[in-house]
Amino acid sequence: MSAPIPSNTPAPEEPRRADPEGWEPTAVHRPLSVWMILAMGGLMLWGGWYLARYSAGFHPLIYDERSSVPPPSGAASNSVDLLIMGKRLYADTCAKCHQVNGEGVLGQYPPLAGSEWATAANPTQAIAIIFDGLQGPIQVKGITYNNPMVAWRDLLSDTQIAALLTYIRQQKSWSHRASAVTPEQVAAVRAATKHRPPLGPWTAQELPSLE
Amino acid sequence: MKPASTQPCPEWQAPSPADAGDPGCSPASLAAIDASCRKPILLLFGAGVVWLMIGTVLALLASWKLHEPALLTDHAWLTFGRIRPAHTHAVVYGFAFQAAMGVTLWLVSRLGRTPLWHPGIATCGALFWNLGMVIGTAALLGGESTGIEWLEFPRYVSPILFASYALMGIAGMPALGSRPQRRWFVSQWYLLAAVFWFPWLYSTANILLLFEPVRGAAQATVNWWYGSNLLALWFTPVGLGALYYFVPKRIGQPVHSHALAVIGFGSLALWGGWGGMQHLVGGPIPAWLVTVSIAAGLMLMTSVAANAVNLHQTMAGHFHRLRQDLALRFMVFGGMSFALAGLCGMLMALRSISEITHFTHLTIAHAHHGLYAFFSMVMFGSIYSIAPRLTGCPWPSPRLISLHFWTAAVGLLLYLGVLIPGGIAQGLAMNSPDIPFLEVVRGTIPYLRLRTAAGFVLAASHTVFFVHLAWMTASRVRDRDRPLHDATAHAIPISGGSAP
Repeated sequence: MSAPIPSNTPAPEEPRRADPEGWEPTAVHRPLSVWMILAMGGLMLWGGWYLARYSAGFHPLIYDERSSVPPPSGAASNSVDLLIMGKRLYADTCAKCHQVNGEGVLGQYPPLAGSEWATAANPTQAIAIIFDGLQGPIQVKGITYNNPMVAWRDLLSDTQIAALLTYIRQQKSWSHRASAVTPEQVAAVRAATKHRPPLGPWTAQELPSLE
Repeated sequence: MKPASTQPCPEWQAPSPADAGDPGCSPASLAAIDASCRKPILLLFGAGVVWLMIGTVLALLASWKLHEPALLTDHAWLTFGRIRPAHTHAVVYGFAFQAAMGVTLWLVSRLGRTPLWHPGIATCGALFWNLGMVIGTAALLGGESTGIEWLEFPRYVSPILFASYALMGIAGMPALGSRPQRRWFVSQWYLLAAVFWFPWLYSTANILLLFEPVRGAAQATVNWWYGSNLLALWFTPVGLGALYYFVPKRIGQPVHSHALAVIGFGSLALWGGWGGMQHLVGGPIPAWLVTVSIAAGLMLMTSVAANAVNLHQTMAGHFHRLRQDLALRFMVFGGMSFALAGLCGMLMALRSISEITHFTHLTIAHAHHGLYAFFSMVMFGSIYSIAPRLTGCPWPSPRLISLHFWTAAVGLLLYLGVLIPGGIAQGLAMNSPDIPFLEVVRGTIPYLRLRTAAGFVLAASHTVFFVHLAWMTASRVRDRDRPLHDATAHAIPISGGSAP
């Protein structure tokens, strides 16, 4: 038997070496057990299989590991339902003043339901109001309101404004049957009124000049 | 001595030169090494334990607030959103990191047979690290948080911490580079890798999240990569390095198998850095990113299994030592927790399980499983082994070490035993469409109360440790003429009051 490996633990049954500090541990060279090799090989196979099975071809646009078909390109922008998008945006953006039922607040915020401004055949003025807001007196359904409206030019995209106006102009419960508004129409008005912001919100008198 | 313990394996009968044991170096050079380590490492340990106490108080408050939300809400700096990151930073960067750094510096100089290079530089680094910790913690409590998990310190703190780390690392470089033996010992592989992995992780995460932030889902990706790998590539290798040194050293046996150690280290180095994205299952990132992390987790099990088997086989036949060797108890508890936490981490990565466990308290339990039950327990054992050699003073009371161990073990078992089933129940309830969310939240309250109870047990164990360290320091200060290398000081804590 080789010399016992010295211990630095002064356990009562074991003699302490003169200098327990000096000895440092090493590692024994011995063959690996077959079971360890098999187990590790199994883990490697599992990992490799998992990677092959669920990597979705390393496609950057596949978010579901079980799928192998990338989403059709460009589908997202074409498939937006303006009415649904508009309903959500209306609740977040417009309903605080104009109310969910579109009736506004008498003397404070003019109604949208039945409003001649909202349902005009040409949506240009409505688009312009959303872009830059409104100030000064305005008559809606025979009642004069005088409360400023804020500008949304930098806060809403063309698609979002198109969705909002389409929703407002086609809202069935308000008996609206005006034409839908396309993002292209909104973009045209955005370009045509791009010099407006420094001049402040529109007034009711200026709006007819936009037709 | 039992015959079994002198004959660990047949091969041992005819050892190759490399196996014949490492004679170590002379007592005189050991004394020089310990003298160089003394100030910086005792500073790291002492400050680390103070941060552990701070982190414990913050943890108790945060835990209590989860079931008593009205507690201490009058002061903004005591609200949950501030003390929770303050807790994680105090324990991760305050305690765990400083303990890791102290153990790393001591082990590399001991195994490299080389004293620290200008230990004053390392002391300086440790002081600046604590300065950064104080500034960062004050900023967190003052409401200045980046909101990025585990990197909540405002970004002006990161350069302080990074520079402090560099200072400490420079002091250890000559020891890391020295190779007195024909072959590097296992612990040296882990420590050499860890000291370069940490700056890589920390600087990458800081640049991509705080200085030149990436946008959108990429931010969450980098954040989880950092959080996961700080554990896998910094705390785990340091913990394993300490285990591979102290377990064989304390039982006086060589490591069971060199080949298993190579596999354990190699697979950690190969697969460790791919982790993190398994926490984003179902998230808005490409499926393959998540899959790569999960596959790497499966392969990483080879590292966990190889190290667990290797450490167990090294201990086999020597478990009776646990009755007497108190520091070894912490080591073995930590080693077993390493195997269990590794297995749990792999299982939690699988999509079918992650769908249940993610966004629940199980994630918190797992972080404590890895960082506390494994890493911190190994660090406690290492501090119990190293500190007497540096102070030249034995631990005053073996009974207190035993008390520390049992309170820590019971507290941890309670913590994990409560929060793991609690997290699974919470996850199953959240996935059930019939249960309203508030009901799910209410259902977690009993688990959270028990978690606070576990926290109090752990707080008691930390207090025992803190008091013991203070007692040791005080007795050293009283007895300052005692020579540093007094043979009795090297006595390893033994239960039953047989220590001097």
